[in-house]
Amino acid sequence: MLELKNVSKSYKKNKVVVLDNINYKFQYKTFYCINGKSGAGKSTLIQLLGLLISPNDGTIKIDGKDVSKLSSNEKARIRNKTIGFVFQSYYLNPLMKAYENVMLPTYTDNSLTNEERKDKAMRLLQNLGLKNREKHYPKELSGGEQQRVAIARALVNNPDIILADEPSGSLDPDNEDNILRILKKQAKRGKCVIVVSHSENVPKYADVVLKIESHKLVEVKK
Amino acid sequence: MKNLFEISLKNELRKKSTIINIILVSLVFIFVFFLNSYLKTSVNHLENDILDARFILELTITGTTDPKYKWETRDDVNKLKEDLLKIDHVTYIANSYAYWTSNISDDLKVTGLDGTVEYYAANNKSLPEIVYGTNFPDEDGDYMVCPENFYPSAKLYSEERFIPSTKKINIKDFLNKKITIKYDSRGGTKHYTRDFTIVGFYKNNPTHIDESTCYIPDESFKRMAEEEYIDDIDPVSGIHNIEIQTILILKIDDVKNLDYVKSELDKRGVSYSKIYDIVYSIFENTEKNVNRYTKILLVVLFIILLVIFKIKFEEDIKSYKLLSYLGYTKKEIITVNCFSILIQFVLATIVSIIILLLILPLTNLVFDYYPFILDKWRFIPDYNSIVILAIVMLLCIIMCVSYSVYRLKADFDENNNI
Repeated sequence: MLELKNVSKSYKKNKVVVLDNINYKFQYKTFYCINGKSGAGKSTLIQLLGLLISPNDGTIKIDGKDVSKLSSNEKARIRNKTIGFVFQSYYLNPLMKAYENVMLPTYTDNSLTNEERKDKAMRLLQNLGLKNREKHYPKELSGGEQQRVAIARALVNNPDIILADEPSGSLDPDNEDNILRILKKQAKRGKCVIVVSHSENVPKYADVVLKIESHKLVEVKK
Repeated sequence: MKNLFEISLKNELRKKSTIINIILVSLVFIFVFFLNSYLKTSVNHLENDILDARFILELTITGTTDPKYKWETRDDVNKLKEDLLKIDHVTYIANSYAYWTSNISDDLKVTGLDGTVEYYAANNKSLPEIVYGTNFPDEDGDYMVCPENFYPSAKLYSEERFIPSTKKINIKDFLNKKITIKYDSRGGTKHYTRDFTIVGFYKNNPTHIDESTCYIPDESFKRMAEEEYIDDIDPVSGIHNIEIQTILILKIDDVKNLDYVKSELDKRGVSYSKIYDIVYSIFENTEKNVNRYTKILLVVLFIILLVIFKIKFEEDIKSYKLLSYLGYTKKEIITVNCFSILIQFVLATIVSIIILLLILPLTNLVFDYYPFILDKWRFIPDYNSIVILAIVMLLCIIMCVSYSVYRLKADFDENNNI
């Protein structure tokens, strides 16, 4: 369970308040969709949940453990093992082949051999319908394929939480559906999937729809 | 660590900008190496030439405090010469009348030189070693013996003399050639011309001070002197007041013994002018200039290297941010960055060495065929150049790593919105 307790985030010495006193518990096995206007604080929320930034006030707990006060190294390790990121612009390393991009988060784990890393990455890519595309560089893949590589990379360390920031923002409707189905499947498998999106399509797949309004996170009835 | 190195290696080997960076860095390295080698070789060459040279003290006999020496006649000078030869480390003394007024010969105004030559009186015994042609066929004739590295110019003692050999006279063209010298009496009442035949060339080194010094027979010299001082005949005695200075050219075996010889000369009350000091000051000035320019250029090149690596860092920052998202710690990201800098430097070093190994023999081959480019100087990679290059590289690596670590720490501060 990922819990936000009295979390506030502001910039410029509290002059710009983005999130104010957020309290929410994200459950496993659930697909969340977070809506909100541009500048409402969706990306800030994702960064807080991904432990990329710290809240000014409040605590973030993962499985009951307060992670908001941990050192940056400890946060990085939690990010590596527990959280998977998916971005709108895929954020793949253009110099690495698809399977090498997927392997990237596994390099911090010294218990794995390179062969094991590669096997894991290849299997994931095949499961996501990218058989025979594993050895292609990102520029040789379509947008939908690149996003699936990014999802495979987010899943390679089998994290409990998947954070996706506009994952289908650059895709056509078919590819968007494909990506959302994959994410939905992950939620069904027990993961907590949190998708920040403007798309009207995402709430259709979501179990819970949330909205950031007036610096608060509120649940919206589907 | 191995995994992080693998990430850096994949990134660096596949990046197009890596090739450009490596070429740029290699060029800078090669330039530093060549510059330092060239400057050091030049200075060493100059220094060796001076060290190998006959160190010459020109003794202008103007007086001695010791009453046992006189200098009115040539016999007086010979007596002094014999005594000076007994000084340790003095290996040779040539004496002659010196005709200090330089004569300009139109025949010697070649390759842009002004044709100025200083004439010394000599006989076949006192002539230096002849390397081309002969000594005087007749000690009473108008013959001339010139240096094998012949540089007839008034600018002999300026730095201009260290110019390429293209400006020097090809002595073969001048053997047995008649040189016409025009001169006037000191009062300007008489005008003379005299033809001298160059019969031989004596051994000298290119950086010696004797490159514009020719020898003519004692008797010819005396005749010229008498003609020049024709207006100075004492009306009562009818004797020429010829102010010919007697010159002793004194050779010392090693520069280390210069001070000792000077002190011995001082003890004898012999005054002397130190041509060696003039040459040495040219050398010192050249070395100072070389060192100054080297330092300035090294700083410029160092800044260029830093700019190259700053651009590289700005390119890489995106991939480092990705690593941060994927859960890499700051330390791991910094390690990846350091590996990537090291990989580029190592590759640049390898490329530089390969290029140098190819270029050095080629360059020297070119210099063999076109010696005027460097006047028979050659690039010899010396220990000093390698050390300087290593220091520049090390400093660059330290600077690049320090800069990137500083930037990464600042950019990846968790309170910054990445």
